[in-house]
Amino acid sequence: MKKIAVVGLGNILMGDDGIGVRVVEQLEREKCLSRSVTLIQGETAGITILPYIEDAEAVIFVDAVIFDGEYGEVKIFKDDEIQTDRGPPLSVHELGLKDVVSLIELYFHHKPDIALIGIKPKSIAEGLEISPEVEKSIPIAARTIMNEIEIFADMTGIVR
Amino acid sequence: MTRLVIDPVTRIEGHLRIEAEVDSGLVKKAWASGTMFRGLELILKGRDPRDAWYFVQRICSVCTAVHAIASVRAVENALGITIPENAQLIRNLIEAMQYIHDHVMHFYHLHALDWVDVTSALNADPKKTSQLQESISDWPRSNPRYFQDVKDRLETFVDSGQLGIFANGYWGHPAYKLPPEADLLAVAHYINALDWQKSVSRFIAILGGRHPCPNFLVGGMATAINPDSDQALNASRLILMKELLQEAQDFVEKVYFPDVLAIASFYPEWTKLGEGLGNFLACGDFQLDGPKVDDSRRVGSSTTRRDPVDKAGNMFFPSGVIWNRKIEEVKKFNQEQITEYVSRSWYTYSDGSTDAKHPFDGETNPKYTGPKPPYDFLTVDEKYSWIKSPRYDGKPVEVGPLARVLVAYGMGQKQITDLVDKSIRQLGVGKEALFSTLGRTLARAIETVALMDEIWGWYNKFVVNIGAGDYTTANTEKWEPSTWPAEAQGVGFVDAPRGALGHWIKIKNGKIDHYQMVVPTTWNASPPDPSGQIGAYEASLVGTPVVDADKPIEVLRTIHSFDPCIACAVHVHDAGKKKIKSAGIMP
Repeated sequence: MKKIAVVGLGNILMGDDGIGVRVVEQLEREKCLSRSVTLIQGETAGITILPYIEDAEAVIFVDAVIFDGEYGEVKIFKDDEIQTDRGPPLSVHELGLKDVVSLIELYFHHKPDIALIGIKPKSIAEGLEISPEVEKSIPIAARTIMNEIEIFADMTGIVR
Repeated sequence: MTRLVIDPVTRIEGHLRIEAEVDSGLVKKAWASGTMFRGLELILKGRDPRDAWYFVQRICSVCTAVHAIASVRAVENALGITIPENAQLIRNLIEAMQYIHDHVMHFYHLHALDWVDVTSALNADPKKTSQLQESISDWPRSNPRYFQDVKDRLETFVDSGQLGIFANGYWGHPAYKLPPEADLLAVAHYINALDWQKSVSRFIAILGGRHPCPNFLVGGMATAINPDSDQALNASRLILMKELLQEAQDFVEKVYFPDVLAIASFYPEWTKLGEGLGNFLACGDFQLDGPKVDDSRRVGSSTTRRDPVDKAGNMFFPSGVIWNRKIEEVKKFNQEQITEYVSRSWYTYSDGSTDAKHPFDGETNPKYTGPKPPYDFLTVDEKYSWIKSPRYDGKPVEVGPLARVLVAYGMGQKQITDLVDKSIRQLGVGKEALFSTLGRTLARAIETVALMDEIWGWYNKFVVNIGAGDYTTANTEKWEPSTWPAEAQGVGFVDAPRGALGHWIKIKNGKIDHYQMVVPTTWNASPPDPSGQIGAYEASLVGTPVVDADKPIEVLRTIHSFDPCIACAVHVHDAGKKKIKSAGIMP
């Protein structure tokens, strides 16, 4: 069966850094995704999440990402934009995420499609609260992910 | 004299900076600095003590279970809660599997690449690699075609121009001494380890409900047991656990342990380098029914009422302290002897004192006084690290696998003693070889094999209890805060994969009033105390040869042998530049 994995990354103890985890929580609450979609709270697990996504045809990561833009802006990064060498970094969980992407090549017998849904953080410091500007983006990021799932499902003929 | 800087040290958890003075090819002096603020204890104040485990297990992405266990133990100690046997067994099983996961993954994914040249594996003959595999164990994946496939995959990976996880390695460095066939074998096992860790993660998820970050509970465990339910721990899941244990053990015994010995045999000089302090501390762990070692062999002051873990010798890894390499004189461990200095760390104590404080009186008041980044060098004569300086009885100690193995050896713990003797015989070295970089790496493998063996006893006991109808996993007598005293304090210890871990809590009117943690890497990576005594990392680097100051692989070998874990906060990269700012010193 073809599968899509959605992985929330980030440390919920570090303010906006936990935004990816919050977005996946939102998707869990909505309960509107098909059985071919697995939601995974990767948090700060790094490469240890690899086995959980090994049979996925597509993997969508959600994480706090620093880029030029407004706080809370949601941006999609695809394949080559998620660099695996040490270029300008994308995500604040970069080492973990990059390790995962780079290992996917070595470890998987197929190469899944990869997307990173980045949300620009405002404040990364000890605390459980998400900045208001960033919190507003949770439903936007959730919709973006559902849209990505649809695009992928249309391309591969997954029954939704 | 050359001043070398490694920042960040790669292939560790978290952010560590090493500066070293090199003269005539040898390290004369070294400084280790945690350049990242860890102030998560501050989040806990005012919260429900029963929730503390949930937050502390998210401090570190790698050590989730051990922080949670230390936390629930501290609360249980404060409130006088004893947990049912099943809860103890489940915690042992989860913690042991976390050890096995961490140690194997540390070796292949973080440490082995200090000894294994990935690019040299491309020159290997798969047939000879197969012969090498068959000579070291009966691991079934030994077919030449299999190694050809691994070699092809690696070739594609390297040809893609993006080395990814293997980027920034010192490939081709003359310090690499393995034949290409051994390099290819290690790369194959690097990939196998990734696959293998699934079984360990699944095992933890069965007992803890999820992985990473399994569920814990003050008073026991939240694991539901019901042989007739699909939703609970039932007979078929118990059988699955047995299969997963067997998979874990096969890899540890047929791949990991033989690999460590085989790789070590090519680097005999590293059994003489990287010693460090010669002082060791183990807080002990894995409670057992009966005594495992003869406690009368330990000398020194008796332990106190506040010391919950030190139940004579009833721990698989016994507690104890060793001074100045004297393995035959293991002293008793007493948590009251632990204090922390902040005289060389970016903190202040509110009374302005430079004296050390016991964690019950400890404070986390950050005050950065270091240079404004970007900087070339730290001001090492002043405060220079976010890591505090814990001391035991006023002296620095090393914690971790080597400390545990030496204490167990000194106490005559049979499994550990047998494995140590067998390993040093096979390597043709004496016991003094343990006081070294490779000694640390070997100790980690030894305790993994010992634990993997012992875990079956806990599993079987758990199955017997369930068979007898004992499904109790929690003691909820003191769950309600109305049953608690107005004020209480307690301490919880876990001898975690990376070493002694302690959590100290004070509870007031049902809320957390005070919380302090002393974590393994704080012991090992600490800066000097006011009397100038340096910590384990800095001591271990003195005398290390550095052939090429631009590629200080020798320094990495020793630092990685400690398995540093500083991932207690997040590091933020400044987009477009390669400088890294710590979260704590951002404007």
